[in-house]
Amino acid sequence: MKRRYADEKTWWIPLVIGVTLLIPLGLDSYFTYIFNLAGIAIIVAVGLDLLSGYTGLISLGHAAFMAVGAYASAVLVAQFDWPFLLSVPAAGLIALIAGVILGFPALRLSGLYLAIVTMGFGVIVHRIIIELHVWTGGSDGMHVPVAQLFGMEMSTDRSQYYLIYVFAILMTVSAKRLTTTKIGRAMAAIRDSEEAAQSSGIHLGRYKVLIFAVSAFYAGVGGALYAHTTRFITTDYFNILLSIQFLVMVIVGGIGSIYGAVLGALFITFLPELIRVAKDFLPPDVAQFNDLQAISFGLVMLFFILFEPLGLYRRWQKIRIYWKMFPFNPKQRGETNH
Amino acid sequence: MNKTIHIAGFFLILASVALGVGSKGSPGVTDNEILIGNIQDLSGPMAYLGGELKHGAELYFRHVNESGGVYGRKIKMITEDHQYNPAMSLAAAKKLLDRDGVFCLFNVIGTATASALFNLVEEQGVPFIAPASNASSMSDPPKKYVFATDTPYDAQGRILCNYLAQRGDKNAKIGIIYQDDDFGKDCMKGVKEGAASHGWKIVGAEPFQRGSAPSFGPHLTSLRNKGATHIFLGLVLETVHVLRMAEAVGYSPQFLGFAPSSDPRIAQKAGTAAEGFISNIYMVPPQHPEHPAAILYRDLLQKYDPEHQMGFYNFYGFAAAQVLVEGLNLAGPDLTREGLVMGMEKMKEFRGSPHPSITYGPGDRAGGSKTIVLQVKDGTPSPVTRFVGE
Repeated sequence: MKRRYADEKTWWIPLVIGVTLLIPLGLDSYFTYIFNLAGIAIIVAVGLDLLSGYTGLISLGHAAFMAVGAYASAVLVAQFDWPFLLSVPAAGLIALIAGVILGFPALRLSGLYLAIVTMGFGVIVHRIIIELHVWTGGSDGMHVPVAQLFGMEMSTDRSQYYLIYVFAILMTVSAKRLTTTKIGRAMAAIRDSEEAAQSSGIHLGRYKVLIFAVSAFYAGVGGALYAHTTRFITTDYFNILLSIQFLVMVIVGGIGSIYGAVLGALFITFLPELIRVAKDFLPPDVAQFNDLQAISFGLVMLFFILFEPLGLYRRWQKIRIYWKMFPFNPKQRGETNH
Repeated sequence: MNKTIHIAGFFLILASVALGVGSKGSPGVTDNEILIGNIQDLSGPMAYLGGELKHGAELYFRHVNESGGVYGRKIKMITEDHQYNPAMSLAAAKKLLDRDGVFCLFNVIGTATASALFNLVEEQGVPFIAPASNASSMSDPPKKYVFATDTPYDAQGRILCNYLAQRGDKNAKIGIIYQDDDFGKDCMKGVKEGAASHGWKIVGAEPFQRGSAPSFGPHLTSLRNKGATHIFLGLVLETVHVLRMAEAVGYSPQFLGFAPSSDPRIAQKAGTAAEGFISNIYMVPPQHPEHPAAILYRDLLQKYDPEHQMGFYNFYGFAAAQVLVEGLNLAGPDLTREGLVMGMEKMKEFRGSPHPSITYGPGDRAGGSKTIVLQVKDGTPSPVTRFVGE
C-alpha cells in the first residue's frame, strides 16, 4: 500500500522552508519589513485566489475582509487584553463570519454584479469600523500594541518575519491541499460551469458560501498580522485600490494556481521597493524625477500583460520545461537548422 | 531573447536578497554633513503638494548650506515617495533609517502616513520634526521624538468661532459640511467646541465622501432649510464647488473654511462666489509684504529658481526647514539625536519662521496655537486679524 503522497515530488518543500527560514539572517530591518509585507500579501492573495481564481467568484472587496481581521485583532488585544495567539485566529473567524454574511447575497450573482456587491461590502465595512470608533478610533486610525507570544514581544522585524511566514507557509500548503480535495474539485467545477456543476450534484449554495468563508478567513488572518506588524491601521488604507492590488497579484501570478498567487504577491510587493532602492543607483537627474516609481511600476505591469498574460507561474512552468528538455528544445516557429 | 527573459525574470526576486545586506553607518552626522530623511507623496493623490514641500525645504537648505551650513555641516535631504500609503510610508522610513542612515525624519506629508511612523521613531529614538499635518494627533498626546509645528484643525475651528463672536455675530446658527475622514472630523470637533463655548447651536452637519463627485446641492438645501446662518466647510478643493453652487441658488450664509481653503487659487476659481469667504491659516502667507521669512523666501526663490511659482505649500516646506535648522542650531555643535530633542525643547517663542511663535518644552510638542483669519475681498484672501489664539 503506497504512502499517500509517495507519487508527488516533495523534496523541494523542505528546501523552500529552509530558504525561508534562512533569508532574514542576511537582511536589514528595511528588507525584512518588505518581506513581512510580502508574507502578509501571500496569505491574502492565496485566499483571494481560492475565491476568484479557483472558483471564479470575482471579489473587489477583499481589502474589507482584511480590515475586519486587522481591526478585530487590534481591538481584542488593545481593548480586551486578549493574548495574541487567540486574537489572530479569532480575527480570522470574525472575518470568516463576514465572509458568510457576504456569501449569502452573492449566491445569485455572478461576474460584474458580484463584483459590485463586493465593492459595496467594502463600503459597509468601512462605515461600521468608523461607527465603532469607541473601540477602533474611527477615522483617526488606531495604534496597535505589539504582538506578545509566550511572554516575548514580537517587536523586531525579524521576529515578525518568522511569525508571519509560519502562518504563510501553513496556510499556503493548506490551500494547495484544499484544491486536491472534493471541495477543490467542486470549486473548479463551479468556475467552469455552474449549470454543469449543479447537474453533477454539487450544491452551489453550500460551496459558494464555504469558499467565501475560507477566503475571508485567510484575508482576516492576513489583516491581523498586518495590524501587529505595521502597528498603525486606518480604514482609508483598506480601500478598493488595495482590493485591486490583491487581484493584480492573483492575475500576475497566474489565476487558479496557488503557487502563482505566492509569486504574484512577492512580485507586486517587491517591485515598488526594488524600484525605490534601484533609483539610488541611477544618475541623479533621472532619480530626481518624482514619478519614477509609479511609472516604472506601470511599465512592468504593461510588459507582463503583453508578454506573459498567463502570469508568473506559467512563465516558471515554461522555464522548467525548457530546462527539463534541454538540449532537445523544439524549434521556435521560423528557426531553421542553420 | 526568450531565454534571457526567462532567466532575468526569475532572478529578479532572488536579487533582492543580495541587495538586502544593508549598510549600517553612523546615524547621519559627519563633520561636514547632516543627512535628513523626508517622505512625501510624489506620485500619488497629493503629488503636487509633496513636490512643493520638497522643493521649498530644499530651497531653504540650499540657502543655509551656501552660508556655511549649521556649525560647518551642510544639510543633505533624501526624499522618498510614499504615495500617501501608510505601509509604504513605513517602508520608506525603514529604508531611510537602515540603508541611508539618516539622522532624523522630517516633514512627512499626510496624517495617516505620518502617524504610521510614530511607533518606529519612538522605539528607535529618531527625532521627527515638523510632520506636514494639521491633525491634533500630531502633538496630542505628545510623543518624545515628534515635534509638530502647525496649529491643528480643531484649534482653527475654535479660533474661527472666536473671531465671529469678536466681530459681533450673535445668535449664529452653525452648519457644517465636512469631509468624512480624520481631517473633516477634526475640523468638526473644533467647530462644535467653539460653538458650544459661545452658546451657538449646530443646526446641521453634512458629511461628504472624499473623492466622490463634488455636487453639493443636497447638502446646501438641507442646511438652508435648517436655517443655517454660518456654514463651516471642512473640505479642500471642493470648497470651490460649494461656494459656486451657493451663489447659483442665491444662498448666502457666511461661509468659513480651514487652512487648506485659504489658498488664493480657491478664491480665484470660485470667482464672485468667494467674496466674503472667511478662512484662516496657521502661518503667514508667502505674499506678506513685511514678514522677514516671507521676504527671505521671495528673495531666495527669485535667486535660485525664478521660474518656480511662489506658492503656499512651497513656503510651508520652507518654513518647516526653518524650524528644523533652528532646532539644529539650538542643539549645538556636538550633534546627536538626543541633542536635537533637547535643542528643540529649548525653542521658545521662535519667530523666525512664518508660523506663529513656536515654543516647545518637556512634554509640550505642539508648535503654533494661533492662526491668522482671512477674508476674501476683491477676489483675494486678505488678513483681517494678526495671529489670534483661542
